[in-house]
Amino acid sequence: GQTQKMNLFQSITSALDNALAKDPTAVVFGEDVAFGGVFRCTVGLRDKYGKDRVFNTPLCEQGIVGFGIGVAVAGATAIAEIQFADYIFPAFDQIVNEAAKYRYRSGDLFNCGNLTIRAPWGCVGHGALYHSQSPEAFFAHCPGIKIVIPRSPLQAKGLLLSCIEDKNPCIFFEPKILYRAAVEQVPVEPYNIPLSQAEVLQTGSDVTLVAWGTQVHVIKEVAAMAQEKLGVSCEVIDLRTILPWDTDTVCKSVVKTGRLLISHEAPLTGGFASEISSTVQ
Amino acid sequence: MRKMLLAVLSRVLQGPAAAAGRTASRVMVASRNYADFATEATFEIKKCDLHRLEEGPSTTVVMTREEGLHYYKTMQTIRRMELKSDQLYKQKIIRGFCHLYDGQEACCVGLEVAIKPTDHVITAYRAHGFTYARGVPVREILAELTGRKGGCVKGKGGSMHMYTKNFYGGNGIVGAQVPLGAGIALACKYFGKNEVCLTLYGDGAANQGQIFETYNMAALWKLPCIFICENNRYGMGTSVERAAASTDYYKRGDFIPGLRASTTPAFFEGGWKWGDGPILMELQTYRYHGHSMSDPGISYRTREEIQEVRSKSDPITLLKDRMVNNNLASIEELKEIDVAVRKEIEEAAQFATTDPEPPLEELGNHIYSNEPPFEVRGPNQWIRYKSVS
Repeated sequence: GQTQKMNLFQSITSALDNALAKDPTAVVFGEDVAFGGVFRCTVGLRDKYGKDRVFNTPLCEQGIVGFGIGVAVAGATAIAEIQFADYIFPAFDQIVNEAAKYRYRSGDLFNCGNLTIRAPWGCVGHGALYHSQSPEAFFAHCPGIKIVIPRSPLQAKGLLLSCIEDKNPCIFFEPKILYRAAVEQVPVEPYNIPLSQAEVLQTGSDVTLVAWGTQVHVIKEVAAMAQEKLGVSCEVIDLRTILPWDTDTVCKSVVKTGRLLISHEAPLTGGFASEISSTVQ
Repeated sequence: MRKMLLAVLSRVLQGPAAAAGRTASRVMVASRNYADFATEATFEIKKCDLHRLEEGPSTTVVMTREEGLHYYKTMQTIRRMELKSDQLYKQKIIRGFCHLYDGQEACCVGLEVAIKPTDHVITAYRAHGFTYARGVPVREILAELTGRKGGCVKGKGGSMHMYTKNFYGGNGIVGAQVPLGAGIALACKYFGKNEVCLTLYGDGAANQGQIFETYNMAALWKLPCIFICENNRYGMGTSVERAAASTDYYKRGDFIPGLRASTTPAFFEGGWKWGDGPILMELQTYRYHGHSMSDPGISYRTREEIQEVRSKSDPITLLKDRMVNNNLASIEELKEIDVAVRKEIEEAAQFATTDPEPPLEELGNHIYSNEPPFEVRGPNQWIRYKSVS
């Protein structure tokens, strides 16, 4: 359908716009989202949908997520924003102990599948300790939630809409360095990109390169450089969903090439690469 | 029932501080005939709002000339230092995040005067003023902002993580420093050295859960912890009315006695006498800059409001007026202090821009405290940094 040039934060706004339009129970909340958000992801939504659907919360991450779980359990679609992924830790208990296990412990009587948590993620150059973290590995250890990380505006909108519609609580990390930097033609109408499916961006025969988020662009460049300088043909895979991750695509690719290289921003020890590499082995 | 003797909360300064035993500070001014000036002046100040306290600080305060000059110089230094940081940031010599304190100087100066250097202070990220008040020279603060090895944390902390003796920062995560403050207070009580811990946080942080957990612990164990909420009316971009069900932050401690002072022109000090347990103080203040350097500060408040506070409630201006009107100092004398302060800041900025950055070998240091140094992987597996501690 009709497309428009959008950068990452605009594609997020478009996704939220679609979600709020389609689902009358959807609400967007978080710190400072009303005026548009610190990264402008929610610009215009309050004016369009009203202050009872797009509203600010006080400064309390544990409260935001706990409150979001409640909203979701009661049947409305909750889209919570944590201002930076670095601040998600006060909410860690709520996510891991409450959200992730709700359906299981209530024997499917209740669930908070309507919950989606969005957070800016990853390094941005000047973020230092508390504006640059990539905490996907902490959450990967928790069954019951889904973790999704897009690499571009086109991917982001489709994946976010899938997360919102998915019947499980989802955490959607948005690479903050790409908010302005990544620009693409994105459809204005809603569309979905399936979760738990990795995407092979480039086929190759010598080595498999896996990454997610911002690093996908880095390994694409690496693949080009490897081809040019070393004559090595690389297969480039964007994992997209961290949990549950697409083991089939990655393993099939490694069977073909025989070599695997995973690149991520998070710290090395216990980072998600260790999970992927041990599974592949 | 709490038996607490509180310090005087003064509109300008100082109270009957018989118990304090502070030493007066000296201010370098050109020698002149002091016979013209009064040695001290008495001021009437506004009564504090009280919560679970029978009486608040006295409404009559006395300030000596020397104390006035000291406060003026300290506040002016912090003000100029913050404005210099603003300038350096815009020149991209300071990178990253920078949260400026101008407009709120009265808080840190007044608090520092009230406590002893052996007392402890912990605050959040808007910490440059406190860092200076706790004794770090301006050049080390600016060098830390520019990330040089002459900085107070060797260039590794930056704007939000400045520390010195008995000053525990400088903390980035909102509200996380409050339980730490209670812990420091517990250690004070445990060691029996009669020290207190000032635990500061802002109006935004006041809604964090861990603050209330800390109130409970501090009151239960009667910790010598003074909670101070610096209410500058905006938590980043959200005004207090839109963030808090109760904006009477001094009452939020519920079972903890509290008081509220309008501190923009105010300092307070005193010899605290501990009856039992913690106390909560709310300081009403204002910041001229936005939340950080990337916030223009006008999308959630009007320029007129900022201008109004600047013209009516600026702490430095108010202090100057009171000193001059009560014949504690002359305008020329204060101007000379201004000149001296500017010079100090310029020299500090010069140092901060020319000092070398910490060497790359130090990148991996101080991750752990360990006996043999170990290796840390750098951005790729062929770069290793040695981690020494």
